[in-house]
Amino acid sequence: MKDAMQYRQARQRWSTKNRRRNRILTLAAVLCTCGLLFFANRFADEYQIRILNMVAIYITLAVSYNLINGITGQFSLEPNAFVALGAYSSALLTMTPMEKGMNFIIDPCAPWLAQICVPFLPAVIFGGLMAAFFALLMGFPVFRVRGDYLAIVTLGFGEVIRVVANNLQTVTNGPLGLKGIAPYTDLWWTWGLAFVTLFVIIRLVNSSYGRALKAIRENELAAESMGINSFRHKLLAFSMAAFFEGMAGAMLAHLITTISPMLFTFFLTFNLLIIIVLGGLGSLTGSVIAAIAFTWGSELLRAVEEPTDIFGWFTIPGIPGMRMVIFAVILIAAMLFWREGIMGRKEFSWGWLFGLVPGGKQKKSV
Amino acid sequence: MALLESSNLTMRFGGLTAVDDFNLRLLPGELVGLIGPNGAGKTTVFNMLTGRIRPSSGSILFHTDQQVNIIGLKPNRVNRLGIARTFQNIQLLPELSVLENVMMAWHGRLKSPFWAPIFGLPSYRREEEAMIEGSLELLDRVDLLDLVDTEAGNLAYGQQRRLEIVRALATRPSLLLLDEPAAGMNPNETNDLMRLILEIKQDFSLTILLIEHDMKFVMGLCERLIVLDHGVTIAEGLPEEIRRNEQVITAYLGERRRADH
Amino acid sequence: MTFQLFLQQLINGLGLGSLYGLIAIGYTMVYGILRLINFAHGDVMMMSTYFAFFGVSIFALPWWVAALLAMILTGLLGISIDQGAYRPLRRASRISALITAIGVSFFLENAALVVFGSRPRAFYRPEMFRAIWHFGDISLLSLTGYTILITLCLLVIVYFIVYKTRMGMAMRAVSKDMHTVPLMGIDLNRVVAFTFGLGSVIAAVGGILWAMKYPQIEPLMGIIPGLKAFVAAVLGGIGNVFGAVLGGFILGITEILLVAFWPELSGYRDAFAFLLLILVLIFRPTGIMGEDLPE
Ligand SMILES: Nc1ncnc2c1ncn2[C@@H]1O[C@H](COP(=O)(O)OP(=O)(O)OP(=O)(O)O)[C@@H](O)[C@H]1O
Ligand SMILES: [Mg+2]
Repeated sequence: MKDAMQYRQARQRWSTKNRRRNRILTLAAVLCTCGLLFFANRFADEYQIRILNMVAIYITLAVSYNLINGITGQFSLEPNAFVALGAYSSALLTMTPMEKGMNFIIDPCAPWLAQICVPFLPAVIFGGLMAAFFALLMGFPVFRVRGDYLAIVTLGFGEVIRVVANNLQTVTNGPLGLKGIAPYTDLWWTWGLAFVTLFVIIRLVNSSYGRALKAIRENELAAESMGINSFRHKLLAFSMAAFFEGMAGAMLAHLITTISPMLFTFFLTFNLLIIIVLGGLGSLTGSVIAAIAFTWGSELLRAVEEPTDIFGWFTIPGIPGMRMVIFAVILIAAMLFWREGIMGRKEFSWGWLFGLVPGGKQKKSV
Repeated sequence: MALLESSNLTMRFGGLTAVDDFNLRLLPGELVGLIGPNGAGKTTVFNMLTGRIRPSSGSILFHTDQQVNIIGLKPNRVNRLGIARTFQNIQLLPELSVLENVMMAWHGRLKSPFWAPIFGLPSYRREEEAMIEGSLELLDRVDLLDLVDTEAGNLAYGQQRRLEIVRALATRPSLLLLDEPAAGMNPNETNDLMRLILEIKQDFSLTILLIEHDMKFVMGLCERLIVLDHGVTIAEGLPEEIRRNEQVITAYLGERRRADH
Repeated sequence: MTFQLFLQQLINGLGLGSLYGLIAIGYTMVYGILRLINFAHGDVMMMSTYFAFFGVSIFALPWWVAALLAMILTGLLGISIDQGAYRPLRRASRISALITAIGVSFFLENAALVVFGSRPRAFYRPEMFRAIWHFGDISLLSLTGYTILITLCLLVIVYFIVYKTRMGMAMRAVSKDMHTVPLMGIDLNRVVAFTFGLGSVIAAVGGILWAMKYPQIEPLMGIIPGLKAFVAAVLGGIGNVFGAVLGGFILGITEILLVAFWPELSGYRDAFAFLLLILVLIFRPTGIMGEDLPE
């Protein structure tokens, strides 16, 4: 060893020494959130709880979406499709035969489906698996040839899901959609899923697999030449993102209890795109922050679509659809002038936080 | 038995024959130089040997006793077989740290499946520890230990070249292909590099094929030289023979004359 | 099905395919040069129909004047989208440009919804496009016939521009290697702007013919034709203008025949193009007339 001192220092910086402390802190943070949720559950009104649920679902979606778009650098436009898949799967699986009978009034439900009725959790997981399955199916041909077709293939897939949901009367009940889905989803479920998603994806990203994904994003030529199978890793990232998006879709179905093909338009994907861009493409922390800010902000923005009264003097008429125009402008402006977003590609870490506090001696922790 | 043998390797790009009927036989432990004027087809040879491009015709066998056919394999497969390379125009991951750049080269050999790190399985943790340990050791060899946390894009030119070499080493190759490793280095750095190459060749029992324009470097280092010009092998032999070879001198003179105009 | 009926459907398919082809030309040229999927292309086509619509309905112009004006305006729109939104990102990562393209597409759609309203508007179909032509048992709307003829004429013109003019040579040089072109004394930016302009003008022709065919327009009408035109471009071999039109023909004909043979599948018509795209990617990723692009 040429320089034992330096070596030891470097070794230490990258070692597991602070893992224990970090783990405890993370656990504490999760418990704090749980405490807040507990209070919210008791004291918040219905509207606030709905927003909190949406925040959790958006966190789940944004973090998964960032895994494929930001971390792996493969531009896809799929979330609305996978959310729809998960929502329909879970809704159909949990409906009792009687509920199905009440829903399918034009054409009866397909016999193979009519008798199926499973509990919530398996249904949610199945929703995720469905999404992951279709992700593999699409990813296989796309990643084999040219990754930049992924965007158009997934965009097309979103349209196909809509077409199928509208036409496959005996399975999806067509344009009427499904009503009276059991309202299983509550704060614990949505936030539970958000935490699981965060846990799994953060662990993956911080592992050797995450390094491989980032290597593919930064320089695919180099990654492949160093023995990384980029095809397989893109498939992994894509299907894992789909899995969590499908589960989030299931949560959504059991939250709003009524779904129809109209619900899963490209608008959902567009929202998520704004979130991950504003948060920073490639930063999971950024996605979480932006998901919270966006859900809240887009509620505020509803104002532009409703008439506004200014001190009772005069009324500005609301412009329906204006919100979407504003969103589009935000996205374009962010790409042109603020490509880094809130976090760039940086992540939150406890070590960083301690570095901010005067006297914190940790320079960098992993 | 040869470590690598290519016969009648030809690469055509449209109307241009970049490499024509190239034959190469590398014995284990050799250090061979591939030289030639600009555009001679040297990098193209590397690209074919590593699976980056598929030759128009010809064959490449790795470990001739086992008859491992390289042609048609993806670059990552070729790398896993034991051929690693560096690039003429450096190809690092500029936004990742120096250490991550090296650790990334370990990934192809990782045994743990993707869910192992998610569940924090001990088998994965052991592999990750070994990865860090090994990467740091490699970085120590090229004096980059104090820069492990630096973004690779912020390194000086010579440091980037060295980082690329250790990254290639991290994939545990038996054959190392170096594309102009001394390009852009000052004489001091070039001397260090020569020493480094000999050192790693010894320590990792490597076979090395390298491309280089710096004649002093090539003549001082290589045991054998192959000269390409316009895709054609015009000479092959000991450095001394090549230095006196008429055809080689003409090829290089032609190059100088072209450059003068 | 009789042979007559088959021929009839074939011509209908050719008419529809022409429209896909016209839109696909712009896609394929922009992708060939910038490796950018210009998601806004279908929406640019939608805008052209509104330009023409207002020309006729508000300014009471003769239809062909309105159509010409709409083509010019659409060309300018295409150029300004490129200059305003894509040009600043030429050196940024590819994903930035793609995200911006999606943003522009979403902007056009929703701005059109706000400004023009979501109600479909009836589009004027001029007298000369209303006639019915008869060939034996085959009858055909003159609009369909003109559509096919116009497409073929435009294809010849585009061929001439791409292969016989200086600008076309520059375009082909850029599509081979964007970075060496400035060295050759070609102003990259002018070439790209020209490409966007030309692609948009041709899309305007397609859009106006499309609008006359249905004959109504609405702000989201560009999405599905846009997607299908991209499939056509990939099918024909991306980067190749002949391929784009050929891909359009194939897509249009198969779509029409599919519905003719299996009317019960007509609801899935829009899903078919997607299936075709996946099949192309599996079996012939470079498309029919495509060559392997260098990495
Ligand atoms: N992918 C490609 N497509 C088309 N032509 C190529 C390609 N790669 C290389 N060439 C051409 O092949 C010829 C040989 O190129 P190559 O890079 O192998 O030369 P080289 O010997 O490495 O030169 P240098 O010393 O400048 O690095 C050149 O004329 C080059 O333009
Ligand atoms: Mg070279």
